[in-house]
Amino acid sequence: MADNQFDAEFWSEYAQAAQGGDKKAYNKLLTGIAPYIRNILAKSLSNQDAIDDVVQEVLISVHKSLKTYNPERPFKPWLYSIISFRRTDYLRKYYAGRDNKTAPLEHADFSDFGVTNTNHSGEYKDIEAALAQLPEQQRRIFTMIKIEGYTAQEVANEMDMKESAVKVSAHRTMKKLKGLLE
Amino acid sequence: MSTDKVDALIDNLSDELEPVQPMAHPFARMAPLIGVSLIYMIAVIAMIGPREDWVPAMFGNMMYFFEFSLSLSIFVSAALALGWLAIPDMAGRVWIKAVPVTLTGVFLVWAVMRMVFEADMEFNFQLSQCNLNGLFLIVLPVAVLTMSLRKGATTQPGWSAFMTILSFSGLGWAGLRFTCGADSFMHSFLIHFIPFVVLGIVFGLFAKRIFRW
Repeated sequence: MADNQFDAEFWSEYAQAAQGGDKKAYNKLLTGIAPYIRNILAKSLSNQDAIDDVVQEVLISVHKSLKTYNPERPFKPWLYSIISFRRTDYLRKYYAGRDNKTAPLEHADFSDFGVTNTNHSGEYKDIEAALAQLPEQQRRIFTMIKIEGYTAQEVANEMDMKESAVKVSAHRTMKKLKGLLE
Repeated sequence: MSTDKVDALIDNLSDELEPVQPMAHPFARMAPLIGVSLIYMIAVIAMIGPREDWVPAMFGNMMYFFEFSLSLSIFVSAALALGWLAIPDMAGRVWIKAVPVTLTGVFLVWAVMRMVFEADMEFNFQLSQCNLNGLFLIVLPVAVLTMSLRKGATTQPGWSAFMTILSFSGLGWAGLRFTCGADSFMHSFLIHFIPFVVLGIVFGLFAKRIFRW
């Protein structure tokens, strides 16, 4: 039997040996698959604690369902189904319990503590940077209409401008921002 | 990365390992259960007493034979699908769920056609002997199929519940066609079909708990 437990091509062998009661092979299998599970989960979960929880859930599930693995079939699809199942289960419980609306003390600055990995989270900083490049008046009009939700008429009254001028300014700012963010 | 907990868990699980017998092929697991369910159905029919004209109906009435065969096929295919659903990745046979679903689609089209073309449309839903017979016909198969699935590790509890519902509904419908002398579709629909739908909804509500592992 191979010594490199991190090599996926041997996982099927280890699983078969584990079904026969080989504890050493089983330890190699679990040690080998743990980083693999973690890597898959990291693509969809952003929170480290959540990843750790689900990794443990998956390992326990592998333990419980070892008898359902057929050594004549590839190991990875079998494992991936369990990962996907436990991840969905975790997310369902997480959002059903409204855990995303409560922040743990160590992350108290997050009002909405999501666990799903938003690959576009950096874009907010890009928008802020682009806005900072605009003249003060343009930025204020854009912020009031597009972010704070004021109507063009309300902004016009506030800024002592014509409504049409406010609309033109907001439109031009939008085009300018698109250019800056491209 | 907090791997300490994971490492400790791996050590614990490795220590706890006991030799396990790999599960038999899904067909080999489900075929005896299907056989037991069919024998049970025949025994219940014999106990209740089959309708007097079941022989001429079965061999002389194509519609009766078609409906009976179709519902029995739904039972067999759904029960077989449960065998694969007990494996996390369904051993790659995800398509197998499509077989009972397609047969159920054919059954529903058949039901709608009968509803449209049959003249005797009397709506008189009432608890009858058929309800009790139907319940009696499915009680053991439901228990057997559910227990077999619980021995596995399904990653699709919703589909598992749906397949269980299709299998017991198919068997129940087939059994009732043997015991009930009424061929009117409205009677079949209201007295035979609707109770299975209700049972199915109740079963579906508890599916996640029933198939938790």
